[in-house]
Amino acid sequence: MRDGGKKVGGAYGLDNLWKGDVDLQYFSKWGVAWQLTQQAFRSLCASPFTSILALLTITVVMLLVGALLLVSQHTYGLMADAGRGLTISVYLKDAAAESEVAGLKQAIQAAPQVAEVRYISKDEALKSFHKSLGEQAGLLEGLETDNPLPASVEVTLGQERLDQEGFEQFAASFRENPAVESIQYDRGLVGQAAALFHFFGSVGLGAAALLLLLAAFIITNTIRLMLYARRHEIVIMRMVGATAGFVIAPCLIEGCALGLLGAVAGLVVLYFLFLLLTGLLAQLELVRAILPQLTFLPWYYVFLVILMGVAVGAAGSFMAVRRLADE
Amino acid sequence: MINFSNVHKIYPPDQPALVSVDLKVRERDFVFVAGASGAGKSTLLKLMFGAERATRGEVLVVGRNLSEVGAQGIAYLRREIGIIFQDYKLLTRRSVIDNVAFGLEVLGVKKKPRYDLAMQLLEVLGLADRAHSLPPTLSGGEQQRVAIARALIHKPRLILADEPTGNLDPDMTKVVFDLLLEANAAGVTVLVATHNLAVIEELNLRTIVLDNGKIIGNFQSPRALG
Repeated sequence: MRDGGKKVGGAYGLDNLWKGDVDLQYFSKWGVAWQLTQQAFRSLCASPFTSILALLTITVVMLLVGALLLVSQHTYGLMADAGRGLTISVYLKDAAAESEVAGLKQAIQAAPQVAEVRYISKDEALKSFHKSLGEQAGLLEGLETDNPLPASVEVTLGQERLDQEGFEQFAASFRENPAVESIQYDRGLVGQAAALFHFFGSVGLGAAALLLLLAAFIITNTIRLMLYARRHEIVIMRMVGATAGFVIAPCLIEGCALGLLGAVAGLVVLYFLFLLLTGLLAQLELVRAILPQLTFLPWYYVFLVILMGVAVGAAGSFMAVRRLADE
Repeated sequence: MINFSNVHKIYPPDQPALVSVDLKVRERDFVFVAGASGAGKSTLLKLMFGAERATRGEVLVVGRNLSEVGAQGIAYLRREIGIIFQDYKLLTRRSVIDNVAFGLEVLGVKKKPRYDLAMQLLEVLGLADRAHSLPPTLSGGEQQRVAIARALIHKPRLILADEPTGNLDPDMTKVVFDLLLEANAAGVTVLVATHNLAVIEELNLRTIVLDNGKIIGNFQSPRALG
């Protein structure tokens, strides 16, 4: 027989082989996970051009997402500064008992948004008004005995975020107090600050969502390209009994790895750009005045960007491989 | 081992490939499926390993009702089947031994035992010296033996071969059938789709004949029929 194999007693010895001494040891679950991870990295290395291109694009996208967070972080700081020092005047009824006023002050002071509470008596209010009129102060003569100005509590807000609805609620919560006559604050400033917050918040959120969608799209297409390159291998894998999980898992790992590496690389680039830019901006007086302290993203934002990278990677690769699960 | 009851397969939009097929194959049987091109041989085999689903009827293979088995169940079914194709379906960028060991890799067998067994199998098939070659550098006969080695390595209960000698010369055809017969003698059920009538006549084993998707003959000893 030409080109044939080693015959044992007229046979190839298949039965002996199957009954042979090779002990088929199987991987543990961790062993299988490690095997699939190795397969994922082999696949990434098998298409270096596609992998590097995808990684670079995801790096840029995650860099932009990080930059958005950085900008929003500093905008948030600026807005909080704008809100800081905003005051609410709580005018008191003349008939309010001392204990009621003390209770009101205590309640206001307990609110987390409040930085300072100052009681202004009727006399102090009149003196202050008197002072503000300057040379015209003579107009107030005679009012000392019958002071029409109410006592008030001046509430100065702290660093809590300005929110139109929250602000209204905060003010309204004291309106029902029996000691309170009326409440006044600058609605215009509060509204503007809140609108700015909403604008920056919406734009930032929209842009970040778009960028993350773009990253997911890139990962989906990268994995699709890799799957296309491996289509014969996948068919053969399925023919010899590979489960869908065995085929899909390396792709998901590839997607997560691309997302993770892209996020880390994006953050590293962002950090160096931040160092470079802060060095340049610090020389500008205006920037120093508005933003005396430029800081990089806090650790939880860094963690968030990395987490987003991994999540986008997993989602993108899942989109690419989901059909394989049913085949 | 295999039981088809009134099986129909219609490809969209309205192309019947199998019509009312009833078929029983017992354990340790060696069965040929013969018929001209387009008779439905490949479709019949595809239904057996779950690459296609029957449009109507019941398909039982290795104790599983394939109309009730999901993708995961099909994967587990294939672990009990060895599949051989005319075009070998080898991984061209992986070595011969990688290809043979691949069947055990997806089952989660550790590297050393799977390569030890793959090498032993290559030795009995006379391909040990080609273990680290890439498949495209092998002859057609050698590639088909690699494909057979991959199908045999996990000791399947059933071997399905679709035109396994379609691209081979008579000498290599004999080698391939010797291997399949030996696997059958070791207890493996074998079903071979072929239009090689010379082999069918020479081996004189049970033969099912398909024509236009219908079974038109089921012969226990085709030679006796002339």
